[in-house]
Amino acid sequence: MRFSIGKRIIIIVALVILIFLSLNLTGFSKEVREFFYNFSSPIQRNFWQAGNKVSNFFESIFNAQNLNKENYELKNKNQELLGKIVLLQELKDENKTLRQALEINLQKEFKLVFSEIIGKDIGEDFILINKGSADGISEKMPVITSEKVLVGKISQVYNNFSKVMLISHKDEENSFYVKIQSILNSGQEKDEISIKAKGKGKGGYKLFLEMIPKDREILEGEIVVTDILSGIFPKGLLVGEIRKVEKSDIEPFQTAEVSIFFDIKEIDHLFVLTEY
Amino acid sequence: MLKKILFLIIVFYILTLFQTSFMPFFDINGLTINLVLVLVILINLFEVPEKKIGLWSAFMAGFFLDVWSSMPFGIEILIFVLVAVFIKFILKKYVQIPTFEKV
Repeated sequence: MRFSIGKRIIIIVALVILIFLSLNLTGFSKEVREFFYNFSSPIQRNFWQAGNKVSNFFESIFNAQNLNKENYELKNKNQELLGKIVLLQELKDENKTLRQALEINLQKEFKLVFSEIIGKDIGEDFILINKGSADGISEKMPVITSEKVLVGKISQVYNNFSKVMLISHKDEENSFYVKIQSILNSGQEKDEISIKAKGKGKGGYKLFLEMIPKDREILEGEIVVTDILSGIFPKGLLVGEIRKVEKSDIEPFQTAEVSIFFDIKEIDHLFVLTEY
Repeated sequence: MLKKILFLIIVFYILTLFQTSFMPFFDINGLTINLVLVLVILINLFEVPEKKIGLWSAFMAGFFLDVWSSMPFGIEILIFVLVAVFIKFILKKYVQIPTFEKV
């Protein structure tokens, strides 16, 4: 039985569509992916470390001119922060005494799983980490850095690997509530109250805040943290600082662009919050 | 033909790992150059339009990118094969450029 060229093309296209549909619908694609992740992870880890070293090398060359200025600014900031640490230490001691008095044990703030980044999705804001369901990770768990900076949430779990959807991913379901603190990144405090807003990713490591009431003046450098209304994220995790505010007469709310605190090029390790 | 395909499988596999684990450090505004796509375009541009290696390259490149992508499996293959078919169509119909085989 011989088919004409047109029929042959139709049969091939139909077969290919059938194969891909069965791959996606049966979940077999997950096994195919995991198979490749398993034997590629050592090579990926080496590439990731090499990329980190090479980018650091070039960054140090390009930034050499700004080093003195940056050093001066950091020294000033360091002094300011030292003053704050002393103040906070006093508050901590006071807090400890109060906790003891109330017999509250909050030592175990989070239960964490330590992980490393081994890859990044090409077009979208996803990263691949080397821990999976075998380590107790499941979908929607928050991912943070050692400095308690929010990175994203687990979106796909394999046995030994997981995909993390960064907070900057443009998925509609990825939006979460945040609080704009009345503290500037420089350490100064503002006379305004903290307010809530909706954080929404735009892709390419960009995060915007929406639904900010117009009557509250937002300044560049104000700190953004997760709010209790965030749902899957615990409150108080650092998100970023306000970079640019946009106000329009026709819009009922103002919007702001956030400069997120994490940079995947700078992160060595991540933590998945399994219990919080 | 088979040797060429095997060679291309290894090349695209290594290039995909390089793209997903090395290239994220060299982004511009969150975007990185897709080296895999660049290679597929180059192969299809400089191949004789009647040959099939360009299409195989597109399929393999798409397959490996699908493995490391978060989209449903097959999307990248579809995009890459369409790009290859489009290049071949344009070259065959409208353009005459020297190819590796002819030179």
